[in-house]
Amino acid sequence: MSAAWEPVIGLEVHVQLGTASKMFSPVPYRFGEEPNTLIDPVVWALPGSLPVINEEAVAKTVQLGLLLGCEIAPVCKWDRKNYFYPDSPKNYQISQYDQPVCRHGSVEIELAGPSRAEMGPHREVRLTRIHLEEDVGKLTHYGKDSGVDYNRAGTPLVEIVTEPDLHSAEEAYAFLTCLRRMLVHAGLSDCDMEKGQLRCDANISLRPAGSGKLGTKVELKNLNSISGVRDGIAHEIRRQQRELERGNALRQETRRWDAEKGQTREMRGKEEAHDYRYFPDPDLLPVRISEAWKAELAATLPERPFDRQRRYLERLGLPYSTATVLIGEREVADFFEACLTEGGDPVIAGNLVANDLLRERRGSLAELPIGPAEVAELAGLLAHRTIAHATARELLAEIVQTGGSPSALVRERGLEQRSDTGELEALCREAIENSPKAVAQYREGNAKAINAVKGQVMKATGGKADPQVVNQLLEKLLAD
Amino acid sequence: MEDSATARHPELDLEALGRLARIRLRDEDRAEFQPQLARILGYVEQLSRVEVEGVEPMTHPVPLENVLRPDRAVAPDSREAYLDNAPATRNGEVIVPRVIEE
Amino acid sequence: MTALHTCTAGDLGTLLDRGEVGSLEITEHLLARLEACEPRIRAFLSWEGEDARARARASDERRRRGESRGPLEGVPVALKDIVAVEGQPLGCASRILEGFRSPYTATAVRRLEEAGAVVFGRLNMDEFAMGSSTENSGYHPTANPWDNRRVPGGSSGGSAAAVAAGEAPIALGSDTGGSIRQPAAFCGTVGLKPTYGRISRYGLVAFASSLDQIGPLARSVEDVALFLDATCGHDPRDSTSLPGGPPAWAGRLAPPEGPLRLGVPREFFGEGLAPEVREAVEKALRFYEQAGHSVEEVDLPHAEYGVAVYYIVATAEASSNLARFDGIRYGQRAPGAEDGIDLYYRTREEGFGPEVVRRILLGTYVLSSGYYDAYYLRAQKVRTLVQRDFEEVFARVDALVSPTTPTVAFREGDKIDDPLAMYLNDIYTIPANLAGLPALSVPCGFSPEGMPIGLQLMGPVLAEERLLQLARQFEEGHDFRGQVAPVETGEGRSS
Repeated sequence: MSAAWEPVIGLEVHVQLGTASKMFSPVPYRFGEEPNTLIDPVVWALPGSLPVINEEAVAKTVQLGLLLGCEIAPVCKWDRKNYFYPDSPKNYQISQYDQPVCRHGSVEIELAGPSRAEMGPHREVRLTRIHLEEDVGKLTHYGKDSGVDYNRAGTPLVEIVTEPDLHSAEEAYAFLTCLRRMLVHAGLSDCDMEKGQLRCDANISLRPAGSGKLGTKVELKNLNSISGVRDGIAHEIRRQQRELERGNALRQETRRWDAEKGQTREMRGKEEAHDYRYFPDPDLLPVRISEAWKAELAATLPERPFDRQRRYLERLGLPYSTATVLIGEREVADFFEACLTEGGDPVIAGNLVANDLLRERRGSLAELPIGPAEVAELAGLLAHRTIAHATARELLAEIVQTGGSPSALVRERGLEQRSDTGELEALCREAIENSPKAVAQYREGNAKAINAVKGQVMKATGGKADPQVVNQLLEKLLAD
Repeated sequence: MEDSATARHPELDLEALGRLARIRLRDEDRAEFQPQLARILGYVEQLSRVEVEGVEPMTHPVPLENVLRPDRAVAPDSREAYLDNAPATRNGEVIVPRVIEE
Repeated sequence: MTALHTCTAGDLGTLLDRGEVGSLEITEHLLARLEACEPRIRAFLSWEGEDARARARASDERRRRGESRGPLEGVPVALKDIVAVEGQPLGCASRILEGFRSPYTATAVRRLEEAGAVVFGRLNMDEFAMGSSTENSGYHPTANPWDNRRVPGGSSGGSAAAVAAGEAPIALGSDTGGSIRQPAAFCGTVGLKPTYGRISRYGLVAFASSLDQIGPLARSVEDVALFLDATCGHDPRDSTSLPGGPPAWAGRLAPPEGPLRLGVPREFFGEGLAPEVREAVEKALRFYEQAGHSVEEVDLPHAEYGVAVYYIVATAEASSNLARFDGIRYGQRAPGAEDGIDLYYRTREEGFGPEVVRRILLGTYVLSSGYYDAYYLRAQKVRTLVQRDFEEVFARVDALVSPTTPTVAFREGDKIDDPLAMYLNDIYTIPANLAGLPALSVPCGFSPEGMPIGLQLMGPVLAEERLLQLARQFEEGHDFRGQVAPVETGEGRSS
């Protein structure tokens, strides 16, 4: 990107809410069912059918707004957005025009740090609004005709609109990653992009760096994966830059990202400017969102992932990389915190969960025979230096499979770490004798050469020697 | 009367309205509807005489709010009765002539 | 025994209770009456005799087992072609829905079934309820049973004609701007539009959602009450349905307790009111005075804007409600479309009649960018003022009395080429829809040419009981109850 141009990007993100039934009728939605099997008179827009609002969809939208610091409307209302398309059964979509559930608010994002181990800069991306609406069906294009499946029609959908606050494809990528984590954490949506649960359109324009004016805006559609968002936006920025640098004016248009071909293409078929003729839906009454309801909904919300990250870093002293892995999933972070309740040391337990437990996990943590109590116990054994880390890792892998008490297993099998200096000293002397070359290097000032000697001792004890004790012994013996 | 009403509504572009409403209008339809609609618009013009400053618009005749449904799913309807009514179906999908999307 | 087709539902219930007649016998009789009348009246678009007989047999079976479901058990009720009945045609008299059979049943119809009624038939109407004469039916007009050259009114013209001709004791209708009361007045029957939200709209094909209400047409006030008792009450499938269980008005039709204050809205007696209608209504007012009620003139200053507000609000809502008729999921699809978008243009051109197209275009216009504020938003505000007028008046009076229509039934073809003249026919009925109020029409006399005249009673929200009692009091003092038009039937077998 040449420094001469500054991209200005705003996103419109659609997220399917994870409810048991659809937005306006009591039919379930599941991805991948036989076409047109999740229907009823309302979904099919049969003459005479009427919508009734799903309370949980409103509740989840309010919760999303609370998480993102939005102003929650005291009263929201429902409007019809009128346009004809075969995937829209009523040929209008029930949406919210001038009184959405949420306004303003922001999403905290984290940009890439200097390395994986170091935290990157955080900043807030401002939101314009979040409103609740219904999803449309799915069109499949065949040679000479198209097929319509209305299963998805009527699924509760929130539209999250950002201010034009993003300035690179990487920022857009970070925004979506952070937003998705927040939604999944709070149980508001699974946000599986492959199932279409999270979809993104971007408005992209370029302006001369430092200019306050916005350039001609291009709407980019079909960004159907998180990497697609990054690649599509990056590509469109380059395209616009090329055009501008050739002295060409850009057209305000809608383009479509083709991930396979790696290019954006103009969409045809926009014969006229849209006039959606929004008007209040006479079939649906306004929803008043009382302070009491908000308080009730706020009470069940989890801590925001970045708030947890800050707490882990600042209060618990976890390394950045561990903290970041733990907050990646709510289940993992909750599991970790349950380990602390069971008395586990935060840093040791954090390490065990983030590195060892996640490596062994298949599926949900709740289904494993190992619980926070066992991990806390392992952390305790490590903290008291009763067992070596390698032992802890092996035990954890075993308990993940078969269950069992770490302390009992350690006792039964005699896995206690050896820190008996007498016995270890003999082994150390033997190792020194067997490694004249390493010893010579160490004595010449290569401190790392000691590791080869240490390795021999660890090997001889089957990994059960306390590495700190071995270190001290070796340093003492070699200093003599 | 018709002429003056039409004159007051030069913006009544039936072609554009037909496009928005997705109804094909033939020349003779437009010739018939134009003066009729202009006359009706001329009639409703009387509303501009009413003082509506500060009056709330009325969307619903009933003062209800928060009519909400608990989030419980029931078994969907069997699709047969629905698909039997559709003019064209194939493999459970409703078929339409090709829709140009891009 | 009286001919069964002249019996009211209440009379039929008595006969059924006494075991003097079975539902199947009544149903057979009415089907025969229908066959005899239909060549002239054409109130029905279709009927399925076998289905009606099966329902009647099931009712008789219930009675035999002592499981009668109430006063409507075994009583035939005919349905306007605008409510959904599972497995039956649902067409709103429109070509665009030709061949469509509903996969589900409307709440109001289900409740009639649960009350034991034998629901049958698809009654003619103006296409999608848009009209005041039933001449806008996509199939054929319906004749007024009192004079076959005249219209029965609309849009529930088939319902009114069927009841007046003795083809059914009760018919279901729907009322968006007078579509029950105006045909009831034109055909000499009782018709009531309940308070908005009283009867569920689930399964009623929407014309203008904020105005539409289902209601009955019948030959007695008691029958109207029987229908309401069975169908009113909260329905969780309709968000605009009012809370509260079913009423029990049929047993509470004694004259209203104590004298009532009756208001006469000055604005409803202005220019355009036919002298014979004025005379009949004034006579009715004298009757109420003699019965002990007080009568006073009141003002509804915004009522004169009702028609203008109505034709903006109703067409706006209709333009959106009727968007779903596109030939994709159900109904007729025009052949020869080049692509999926062209399909809309062709299907909707071929499927909709001219009045429906006119109203969709008008509704599209008043909602379109640049005109919304001047038309739709302003109309909604004036609608608020209309409602306020009523609130103020009902602080002083208990009910309003007026003519239902400015004239008696007009001749076929008289107004069909002049949409605005047709619209103005609803000038007295529209305000109640705008304000969501209950209103009924009860026969109050005949013109010199022998055409029925209707008296409109309007009340504050939820005042149906008071209106029914007032109407019943009027009915008791006159001889319009149970009147059947003298239809010339081909065979004379059942007249």
